Amino acid sequence: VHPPRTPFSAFFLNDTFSRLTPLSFNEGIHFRYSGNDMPADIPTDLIARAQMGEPAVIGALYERFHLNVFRYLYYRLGDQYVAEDLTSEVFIRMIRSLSAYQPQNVAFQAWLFQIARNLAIDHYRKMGVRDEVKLNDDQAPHGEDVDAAVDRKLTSDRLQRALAKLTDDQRDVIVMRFVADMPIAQVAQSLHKSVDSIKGLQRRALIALREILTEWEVSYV
Amino acid sequence: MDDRLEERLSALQKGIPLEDILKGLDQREKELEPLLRLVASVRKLPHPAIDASRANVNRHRLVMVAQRQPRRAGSVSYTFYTFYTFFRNWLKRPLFPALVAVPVVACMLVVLLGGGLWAVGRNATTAVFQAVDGQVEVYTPNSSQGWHSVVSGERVRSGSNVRTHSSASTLLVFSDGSQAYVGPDTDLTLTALTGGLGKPLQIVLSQYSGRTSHIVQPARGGESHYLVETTSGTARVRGTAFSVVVDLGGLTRFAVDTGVVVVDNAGNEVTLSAGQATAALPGLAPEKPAYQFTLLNQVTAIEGQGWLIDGIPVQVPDAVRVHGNPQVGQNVLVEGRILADGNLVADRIELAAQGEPRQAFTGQVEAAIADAMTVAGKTVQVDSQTQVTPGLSSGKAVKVTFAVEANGSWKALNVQTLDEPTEATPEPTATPDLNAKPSLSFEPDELEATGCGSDFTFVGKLLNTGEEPKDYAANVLLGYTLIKGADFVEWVDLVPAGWERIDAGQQVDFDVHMTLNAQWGSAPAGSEIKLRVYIAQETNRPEHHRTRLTLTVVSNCNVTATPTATSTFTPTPSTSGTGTATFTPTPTISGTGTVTPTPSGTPSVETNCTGANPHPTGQRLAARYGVPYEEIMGWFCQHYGFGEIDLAYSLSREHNIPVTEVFALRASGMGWGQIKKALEEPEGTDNVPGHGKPNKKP
Repeated sequence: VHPPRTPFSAFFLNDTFSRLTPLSFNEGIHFRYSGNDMPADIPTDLIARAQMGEPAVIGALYERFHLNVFRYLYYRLGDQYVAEDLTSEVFIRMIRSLSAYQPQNVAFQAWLFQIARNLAIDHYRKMGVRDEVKLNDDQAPHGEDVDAAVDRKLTSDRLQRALAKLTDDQRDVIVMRFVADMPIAQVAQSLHKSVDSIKGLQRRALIALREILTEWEVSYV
Repeated sequence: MDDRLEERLSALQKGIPLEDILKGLDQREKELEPLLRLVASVRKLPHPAIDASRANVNRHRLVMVAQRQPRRAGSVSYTFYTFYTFFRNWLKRPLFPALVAVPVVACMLVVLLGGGLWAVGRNATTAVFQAVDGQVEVYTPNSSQGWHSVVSGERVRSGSNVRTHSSASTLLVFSDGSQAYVGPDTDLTLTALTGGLGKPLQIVLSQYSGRTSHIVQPARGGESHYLVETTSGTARVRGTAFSVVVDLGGLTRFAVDTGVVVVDNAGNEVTLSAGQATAALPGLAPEKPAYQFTLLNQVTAIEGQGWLIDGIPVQVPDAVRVHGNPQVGQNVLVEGRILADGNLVADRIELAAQGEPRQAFTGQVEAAIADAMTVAGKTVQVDSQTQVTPGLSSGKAVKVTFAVEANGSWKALNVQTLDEPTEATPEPTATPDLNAKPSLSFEPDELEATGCGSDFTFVGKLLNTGEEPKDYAANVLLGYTLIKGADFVEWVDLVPAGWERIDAGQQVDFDVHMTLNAQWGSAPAGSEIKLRVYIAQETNRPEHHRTRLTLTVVSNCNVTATPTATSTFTPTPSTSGTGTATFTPTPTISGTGTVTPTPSGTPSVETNCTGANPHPTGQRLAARYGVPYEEIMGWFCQHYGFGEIDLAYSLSREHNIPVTEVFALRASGMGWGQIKKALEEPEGTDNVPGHGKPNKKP
């Protein structure tokens, strides 16, 4: 059944993509998100529709998760453009692997972050970025004079530089939990660890981050 | 303490105010306070976001990838799991390496053989970047490289993503000569690029944003195709020139310069002919085809959805993306369509640099009087300065370039028909050798064949008439245009279609294979197909090569009440001292007499050579070389083209040898270039026939 023909002029009444998009595009696609203690996951019937390649569902999944994935990659890689490219790649891989995804084993977002994490690791391997960061481990924030700084509020840029000094797991847990706002259970799934070990990792990561920011005289209160 | 921290963090995540959480900390938990404050600060930060336009492009890409993905559901199949389990168990056995060695070696052999075949088909399965201007990047999934900048001449294969930055552009040239111009801020994937080894050439581009313009060669065979996919529709073409602009929001504009383009979306399709355009949105049927306009001029007023561009009213619906926030007094480029009611509706507006105004629209000529013409409902003034394509008549699709007069009327500067495809001459990209002054020339520049069959092969000759050794031609690429009878042509192939270098004085040969469709068999006698071959590219002197080779195929099908010509051809292989064979044609034309022009031999081959008789080209050649018409037709009926016959007689005269020997050399497998070279070499030089390309003649 083809959608009814709509006069072209009618398309011009709205000015955003979502409003331009025919109703059927996002119609009936709602994500279950019952409070903060519940994994922000998606219903299995939507997973099935996504596995069938339904463009509307795929588009909606992108809308729902792309920002979190991008931020994770940005804080992990420290490069806006590379993070944008890899975000696109995460979702392409998502489509290609969707048929093998089993919702009963892992939350969808956690699975998506596993893909993102693998891609980031691949990127490190190709570019040698991580090694470079470690070599500069004792440096102050790039381009800043520690002594001369007066107003040192926490910014996303400073956060990224500070996170770069943590271990990969410490950085992942902070970004997933407090930037992407993922429940701890999903973080554990993404990092293939137990919830208890994530709790410990989380505390150590926060202590380490705090020490770095204190050393840099960055205020966050 | 880890649990306590997590408990407080969960509370923070639930939205409980930080201060409330801190108040609840007991003495032992005071150490958690700075950590909780840190988390609260991190959560409140304005974190970076993906650029909105890139997000849109990525979403488009994703949706299109999903549409192409095979529809599968569920998890890994049981069959796969069983195989996996079996394989895993075998891995644990000590003899596994030995058992696996044999199939591994077999696989390697297959890979090696396959590699050879791959190399043959490589050209068809890759495209070449040319005219790279600015930052153009490519990314091929599963390759060792990420996004990287490309240079002219670099090849790109199926599955690769291409993107251009602002002010950057490039040209993608495919193996059949089709070209895709990729404009600034464009993002696309070469979704499919297959062909080679007898496979039909299939090109699929998925365009997520920006502008592409395409010059597509006629499709070779029914399974060949050239598609441009967008989230708002797919353009299918078979030999045409058109452009696609994908704007943020998914609004896509398809516009056709020449030929026909079918645009389909959401199960509905529209057919655009020359000069027409349509717009489409995701999931909805494309708009009705309409003629198009382009205005590059100053904004004189903006009132809501009504804009005046140099006094011309244009509707600008809210959803049309206006790039660069132009204001009154600034120059804009407006592209849009002329609706059935005559209103101009914009599809796209962008801020443009100040410069010469340019205004044009397309449409059918509705009426023409002495000093005015009505096209697509618009009346334009015509005077002696207006350049008008000769032979213009009512109903023809035209492009009108015009200026707005002081009184608001439109004065036509140029009225050009859109029916004739324009030839594309891509800019050469390699560094030219400024000392080289090559001059390329097709010799002869006209070849003709008559027949009713479906396959025709012409042999073209391209000569570099440059005078000095330094005058070499570089990166020569042939192109062709069907200028008449395109409806009969199934596909055309130029072999080879290009040369890296042609030295001064050097001549190269190429075959033009033309396959005609079934309609040709029912075409009236005298119907013609005309194809023009031209130099699409040459690096050292690109503007110089105006040479054209015109190939004509004339139908002799469905002839009534005309004499039937039946040739009896007698090729006589007579062994000579040089080892070459001599063939003698003996045409017999019933109804007009029987002629035996030259000594005959055996065996005798009968060739049906019916049709327009006498053939004008045959007569011309007979007169030119002073031989009987029947002799010329004798060779023609042996499937030599008139161009080849002309060439053979010309060489025969030039080198004072019997024409039969020239044809014998050709029949032995030598190309025309080799024959010419062999005849020009001094006696005593080894001329071993058979080193040329395989003989395709009977």
